[in-house]
Amino acid sequence: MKQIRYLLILFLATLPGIASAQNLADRVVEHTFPNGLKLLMIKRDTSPTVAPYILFKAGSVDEADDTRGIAHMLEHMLFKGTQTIGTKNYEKEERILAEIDRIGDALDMERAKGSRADADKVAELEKALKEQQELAKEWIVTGEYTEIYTQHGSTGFNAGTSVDYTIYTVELPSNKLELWAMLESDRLKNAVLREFYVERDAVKEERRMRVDTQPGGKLYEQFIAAAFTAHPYGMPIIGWPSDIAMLNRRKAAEFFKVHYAPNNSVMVIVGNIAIDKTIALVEKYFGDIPSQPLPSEVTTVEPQQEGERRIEVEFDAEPQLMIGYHKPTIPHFDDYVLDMISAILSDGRTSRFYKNIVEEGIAVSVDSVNGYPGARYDNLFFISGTPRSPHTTVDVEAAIYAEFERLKTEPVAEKEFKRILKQIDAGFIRNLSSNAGMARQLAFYEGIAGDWRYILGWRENMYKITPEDVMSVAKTYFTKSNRTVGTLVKKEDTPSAGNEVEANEQ
Amino acid sequence: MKNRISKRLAITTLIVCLLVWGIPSTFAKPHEELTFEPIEFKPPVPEKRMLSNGMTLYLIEDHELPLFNINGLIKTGDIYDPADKVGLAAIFSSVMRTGGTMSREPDALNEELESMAAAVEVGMAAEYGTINLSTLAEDIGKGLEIFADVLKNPAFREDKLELRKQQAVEGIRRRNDNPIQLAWRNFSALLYGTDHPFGWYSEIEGIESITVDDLKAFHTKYYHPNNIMLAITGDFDTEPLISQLEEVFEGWASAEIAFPDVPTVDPTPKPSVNYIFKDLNQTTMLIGHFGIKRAPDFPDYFALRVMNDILGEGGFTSRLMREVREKHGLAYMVGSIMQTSYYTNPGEWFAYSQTRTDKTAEAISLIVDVVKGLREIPVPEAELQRTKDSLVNSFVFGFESSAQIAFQQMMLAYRGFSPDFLETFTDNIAKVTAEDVQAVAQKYLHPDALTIVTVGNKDNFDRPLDEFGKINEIEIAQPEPLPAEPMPEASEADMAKAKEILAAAVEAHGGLEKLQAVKNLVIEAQATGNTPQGPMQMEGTSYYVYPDKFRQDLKLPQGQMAYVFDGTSGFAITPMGAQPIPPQVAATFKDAVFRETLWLLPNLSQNGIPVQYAGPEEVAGEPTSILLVTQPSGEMLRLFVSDDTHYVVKLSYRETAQGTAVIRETYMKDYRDVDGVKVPYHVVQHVEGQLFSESRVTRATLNAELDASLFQEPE
Repeated sequence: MKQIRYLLILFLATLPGIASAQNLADRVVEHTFPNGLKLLMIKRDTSPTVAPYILFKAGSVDEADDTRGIAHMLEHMLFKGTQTIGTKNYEKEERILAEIDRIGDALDMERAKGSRADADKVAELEKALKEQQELAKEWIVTGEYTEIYTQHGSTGFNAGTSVDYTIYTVELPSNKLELWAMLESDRLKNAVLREFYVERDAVKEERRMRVDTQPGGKLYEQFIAAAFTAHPYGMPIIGWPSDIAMLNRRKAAEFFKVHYAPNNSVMVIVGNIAIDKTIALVEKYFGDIPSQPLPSEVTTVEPQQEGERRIEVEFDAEPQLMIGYHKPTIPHFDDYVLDMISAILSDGRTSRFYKNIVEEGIAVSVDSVNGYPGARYDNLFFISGTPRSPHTTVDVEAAIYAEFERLKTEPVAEKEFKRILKQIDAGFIRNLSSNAGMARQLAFYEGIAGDWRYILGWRENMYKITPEDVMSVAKTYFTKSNRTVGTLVKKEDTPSAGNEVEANEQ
Repeated sequence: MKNRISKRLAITTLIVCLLVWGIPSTFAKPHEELTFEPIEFKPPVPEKRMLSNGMTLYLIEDHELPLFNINGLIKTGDIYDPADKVGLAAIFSSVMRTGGTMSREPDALNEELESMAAAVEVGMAAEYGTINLSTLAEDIGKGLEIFADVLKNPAFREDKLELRKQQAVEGIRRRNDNPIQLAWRNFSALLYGTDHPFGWYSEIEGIESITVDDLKAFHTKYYHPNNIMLAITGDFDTEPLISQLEEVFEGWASAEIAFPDVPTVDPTPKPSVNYIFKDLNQTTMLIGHFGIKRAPDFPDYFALRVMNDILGEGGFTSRLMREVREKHGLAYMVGSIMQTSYYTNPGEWFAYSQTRTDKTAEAISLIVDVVKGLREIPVPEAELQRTKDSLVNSFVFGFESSAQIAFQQMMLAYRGFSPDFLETFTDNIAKVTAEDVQAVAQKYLHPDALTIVTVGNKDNFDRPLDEFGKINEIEIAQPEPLPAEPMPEASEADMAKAKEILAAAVEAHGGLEKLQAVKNLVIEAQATGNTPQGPMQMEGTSYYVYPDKFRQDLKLPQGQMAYVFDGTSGFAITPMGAQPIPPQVAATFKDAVFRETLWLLPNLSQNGIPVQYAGPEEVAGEPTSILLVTQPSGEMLRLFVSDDTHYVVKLSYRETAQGTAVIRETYMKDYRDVDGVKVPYHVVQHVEGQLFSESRVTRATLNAELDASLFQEPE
């Protein structure tokens, strides 16, 4: 999600506007199947390739306290194959998988006791689990699902989980579209979440890599948790370590069943395709997946912030700064104004942050993004900065606030608006030059804004913004009491802290 | 790249035909029964042209969208960095863009480009430089003009170089923050040693020494039309475009370039096991050795492509991914990379993984076993076929856009690939056998001669790493701030002369008794700050409470600010509230109070602080004597005392913090009498020789009644 918004701003914000927006509007073909599945297509014949993307409106925000991390974990598990792919004999394998689940649950429960866990019992269960995993290996064909795609020349075969959604991406030579339809529908109908505990270990490594060993990742996790006190937007997508340790196949299967419904998804296919044949192909493979009642939305509303929140993270690294202000999500008009403000502040070398903070040597970088961490619910206007010594986060923070004060008191010059609008229009054209980029953008706006035409309306709204709108929105949201500030502070000495490594892992 | 007149060169026609059929199988799974229409695809072929000045062009007209792109390649690179100025080429490339051109100020250049949603960017890689233009088709003319201006006439403005150097120094200060970066820097340094540019990394001293003249010399040496190739794609017509290019580059002549010799690496393996402490719960490991130096005729290339894919470059299906991640859950990121594109020296081959600390040795062993396996056992036919199919089937993704096609063609020519490389690629891949793969594995992979670098916390390793070899522990020091400038040796005579000058200065400023009676000083002033946006007016009041308290209140256009230092720590009051000031910044306030002359002169004359004479110098036509003294921070202070009035007319000192330093000079004029002591009413500050601020005192008060709350943090 964050990448998408970012893309929107950097690239959309990077032409002959009306013509290009019209061009996009004319090129998108929509089809809705009886089971609620929405299909968007753009025919582009530049090369014999195609980018089929599927987005499910199911992200970490849809998790509960005891399933935190499951949206992301499930995304990993959906690469493990189906009842026919990834196995030599599913019937025989299935019995072992059930046994693995039983032992795994017992093991997780025992380890969860922490210092009161029975070490012998843990060892015994670990041994039993290992034995069953070895037995399962006889039937499992590790990596087969991925291999098929790779062998057929896929690129960009991957998936991503955000707070708001999960997206499955791939690009293929265009003659392989039916292979995609077969494989994707197979995993929606017959997925087998095998090799769960090994993959759970890989996810733990992912967390260590993205969070525990990355100063920026660590700071962001603490920052966002402070910014949201009630709404699940404050929780890490990957889950806290103790959450990941308690994930299992049952929870993943349940999340899959509730959220991966055709009427809760968007499919986008951009590239060298025949429209009618593509519709027929999708109907053939996905048409028989039944629609189902949609899961409920998050009803918790983040209460109004009643005072500045400040957090510090100590880490063996040089200082960094993050600042966030609560604000409404799309399609509130203020959200468009904040998109404009973000462009004024941080798009390019003419932007205010660059000219007045980076070129002044106060920071090596300062960026703003409107709409962290997601867009389904009210979110944050987010700023991150990296000071340049001898300047500190204090100096960078003061310099950022000075820019907000300017936004509140000085009308934005016509010239700045014109430059940004020209970049928005250029962005419409540039975006059309990538199958994958278009597929991602359409999937996001159809899935999250509820209609891909949001992109067209976005442009119109950006054109409506006045200097007064900018001042009034700046005054409304950029207040001290509405902000959360996170700073990464260098740990003074880093003693060799020995024993925090997880005792409760297999 | 000979200098010929606009000669049309025929380029080999490239036709990629992809014929992929269903794979027959006896035990067919549903997807195996699918059949696929063959793809017949003739990607556009770039037209190769040469401008009259010798610049080579690869052109593809593409009228799908109203866009225009140039990707330029210059034969140069980081490899030509001087040993004592590592980072020069990288800094050159960024200041070539940010420093503006002879006729375009940097701000004007940025404004011009961004207001037409266009971009010109300059880059630097190890063995080539880049320059790109991206613009709307409607702005081709203007875009080309700016592109040529940046290429031909970069101005390398001093202030932009200074900024870029500061950023580079900050990058050095931060280079140990990220374990991957830390591991990589040490891995390449271990592999290539200190005598080779591939093993070098920037240090603060080298960065500090880079001058505008260095950048200009780099430009003059490499940036000539005969040394440049451009891949041009988008919504244009070739003939008019060529005329436009001839026009914007008119008068830019080609030149003979003497490329410096790049040192040759000694390819003898120097295996070692290295450990760097960082208190993290995951070990970052790099395991490898020298790779391949690209030769024009390189028959092993295709077998190597297949081998590398099987080993660790093939994404999710490679063996390292399968073994380490999918079967053992020991990593999220794991794989290998063989650098095969360098033409001056062998690149590197390495495997990488990030694995929980208590499985470090296990992961290393697993990786080494996978490498050994490729050497010892022929690749099973099915795995070989899958990998070859993957390379052949995905080949079409090299031809997704005209920009990509033209760039690729240009790059292949630059690196000396044979002209029919692309045309014959899929056939050559298809020919690779299991024996070929094993042969290249044996020739290019050396699991008995590995350089291993680990970053993590060995206290928690599963086993000591000495099973892989003797451990070399690398101490990582945070790049230190520049040491204070040392005081020069002083003779007895210099010390005695300093005393004399100091005594005269004390007398001239009001005499010892009057000066010692000053307990505090409040200066109110109007100042003009010289900012890049133009002059900025401000009003300020400075409070000096001797010996060590300081406060400055500023009224700026964006609001009121105050900096407060109570002798030990400080805070800033901003429109958004009070915030603490870090110790290293507070230390500079201590120096500021120390430098205040009404305190400095009696302090120096009475408290036995060593002062030495360092010769005469003229300040604005006035003869002065220089006194040297050490400030509380350790930095040296130069006082310039007028030989005529005995007033202190100038101070000069270096301000350093965490590796960066600037010279500040303060000129003090218009001394007036305030209750019997002399205070300068006109103060001009220069930073690095540039005007920084000019202030005029409106009121100076001695021994004012000051409220203690001035130095207390507000609620």
